[in-house]
Amino acid sequence: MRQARTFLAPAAALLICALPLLIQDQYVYHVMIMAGIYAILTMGLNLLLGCAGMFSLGHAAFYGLGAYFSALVTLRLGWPFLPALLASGLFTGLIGGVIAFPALRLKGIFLAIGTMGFNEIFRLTAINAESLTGGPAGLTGIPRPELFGYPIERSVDFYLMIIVLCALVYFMFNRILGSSPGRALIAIRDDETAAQSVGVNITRFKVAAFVFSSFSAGLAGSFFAHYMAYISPDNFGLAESFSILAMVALGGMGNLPGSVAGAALLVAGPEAFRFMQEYRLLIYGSSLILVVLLLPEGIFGWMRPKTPAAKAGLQRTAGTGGG
Amino acid sequence: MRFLFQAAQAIRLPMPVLLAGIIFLGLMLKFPLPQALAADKEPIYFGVAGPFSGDNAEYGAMWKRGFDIALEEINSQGGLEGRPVEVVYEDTQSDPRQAASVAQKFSRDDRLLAVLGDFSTSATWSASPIYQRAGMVQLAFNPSHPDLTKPGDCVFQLAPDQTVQAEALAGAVIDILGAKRLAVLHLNTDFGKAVRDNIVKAAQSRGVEIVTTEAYLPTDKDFRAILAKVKALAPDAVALGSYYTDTALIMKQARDLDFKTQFVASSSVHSPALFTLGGDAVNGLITNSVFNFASPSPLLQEFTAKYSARYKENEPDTFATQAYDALRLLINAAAQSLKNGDLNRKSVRDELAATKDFPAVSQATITFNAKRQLAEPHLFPIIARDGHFLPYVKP
Repeated sequence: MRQARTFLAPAAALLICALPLLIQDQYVYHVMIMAGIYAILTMGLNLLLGCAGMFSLGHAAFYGLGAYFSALVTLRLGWPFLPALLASGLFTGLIGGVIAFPALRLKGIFLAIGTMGFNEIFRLTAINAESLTGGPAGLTGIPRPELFGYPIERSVDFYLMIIVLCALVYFMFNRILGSSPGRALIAIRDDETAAQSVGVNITRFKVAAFVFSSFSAGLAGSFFAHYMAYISPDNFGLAESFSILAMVALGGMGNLPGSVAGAALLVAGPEAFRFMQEYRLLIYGSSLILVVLLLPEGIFGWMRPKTPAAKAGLQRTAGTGGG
Repeated sequence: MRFLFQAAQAIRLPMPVLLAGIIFLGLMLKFPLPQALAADKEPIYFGVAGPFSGDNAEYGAMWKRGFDIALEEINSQGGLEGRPVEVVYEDTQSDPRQAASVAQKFSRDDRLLAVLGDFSTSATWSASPIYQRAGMVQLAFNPSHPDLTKPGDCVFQLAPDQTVQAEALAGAVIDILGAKRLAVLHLNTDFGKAVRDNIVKAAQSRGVEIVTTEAYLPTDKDFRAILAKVKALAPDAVALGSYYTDTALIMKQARDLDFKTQFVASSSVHSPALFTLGGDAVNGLITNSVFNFASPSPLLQEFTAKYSARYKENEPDTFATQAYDALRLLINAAAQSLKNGDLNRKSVRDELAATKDFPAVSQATITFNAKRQLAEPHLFPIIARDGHFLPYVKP
């Protein structure tokens, strides 16, 4: 097992980077770019839900905030892409932090409902603040990115860009999880009172988790806006939040590589079953149920070294996810 | 239950492999190479991106009816110079994200000459840049946003746009009904808002007072609160920026509240389904039709006859009619290209843009202007009465 694991990650990374040599198909690239965007979103929600045990159903709102912010600063203020990308992340992170304070008074399913409310507030604002957001028809003509004077236009370029972005976000979350703040978050998830009794500042860590999670969602949103060149409130509804949640569940709560794989599978899955026309969503739903039933620790659950403590923690979270 | 868990444990290790296998199989099946038929008999393909499942699936089903009749007509005559015409359907649920995926899929499919759809403006615009880059016609025949064709010279619009529809509706309210006070109820979508804005503008320019405008969400089912509020303001008429599903509900609930007023609605309610959903409650609703009932052209009569025979319904609706016209427009553009000896995406675009006085059903004739919208859109007032739409004549 151990040997397989050390070998698997570099192999997967190599394959992902070498794909442009093998594939010329823009549709395949589009699916993979979308998978990359959702991988970032899923990793962010994973930090909240899988690691800190905070059930958020408002992730699509942060995604949308990033997208609208980035679109507006490039369209209205003429910012170049890179500063807009970074600023979207920071802005969304800031809003995430502001939202976190009141939201943290809520626990469990109440937090889920509160964040769901935030998602709806965001969508309705986007629909109604017409002068700013373009209303229900959205914003058109968002400029394509330009990096150091080199215009990004081809699908391959976007693909390479999202790989770099994904890798950076993965690295960031990996660092967080592998260090003492990450362990503090897991301690909070498993037992708040116990964590507090050993000196973990619960509010601080929870707010920080919210900030980092929404920061990454903002980055994903900004990239999405510039990739699609068009955004509308329909892109950031509650259904999006639920799909991101399904990706986290599929990949396994608290499992970072699992999040990436879960996102990739759930983006590619419905596309792969397109030949079944209207029935494809039936397949999508039933395979999700099967995975949750047969693999409650997610598709990569088998890869983890199992200590009794980790097992107990995971089962508890899986139980929450099911409810 | 116990057995299930044992089974799960037994296959825990190979499960990811199995899953990957299933997905891989799906991917393989998804890329079937186009069958190389006899070169001279190779079909002419068009793509259709629209809502065939999800909330708007019923409109997609109407499209299919229109397409089927058009396909049968052309293929029973032996197709275009011996080549049969076929359409390739992809379901987008009129969701912008899926519309973009389908656009990527369609634009790399070299068989497809042009694309029909999507249903909503946001789904259409989400796909437009992709079709534009592929130099492929995107004939969005339902959306009526005034700026629909702005994303580029490959986007075409077949429905009379909102400003035209609102003018006609305001005209009906004022000239025919003599209303002085108007209330507007509308869907809180780009479509509903466009109806509201244009109706308010058109009505105010004619000196009609707008007593209120009320928005509701596509998911709303209970309109009693809004209706009670509007009733208290006592308008002469209520204008709706709605589809037929919500219109039926609104008029039913207005009757429950004993709110008697004249309802007028955008042409999007013009469907026999309005009567199945609304029954008697929708009697007296005035709307605009894109096609002329009072003096139907031979083509419209023919289409109506075919439609009734095939689907056992009295009359076609806007969605089926526009779908029928849209496909015929593309077939015509392809036929013109073949005549010039060169059939490709660009030739179809150029021929479609050059469409002039093309006899059609949803309009008597279709001519595209420089903005690839209808050059001279015509609308006709109709009234709902006992399960039928009748041409409206001032009493």
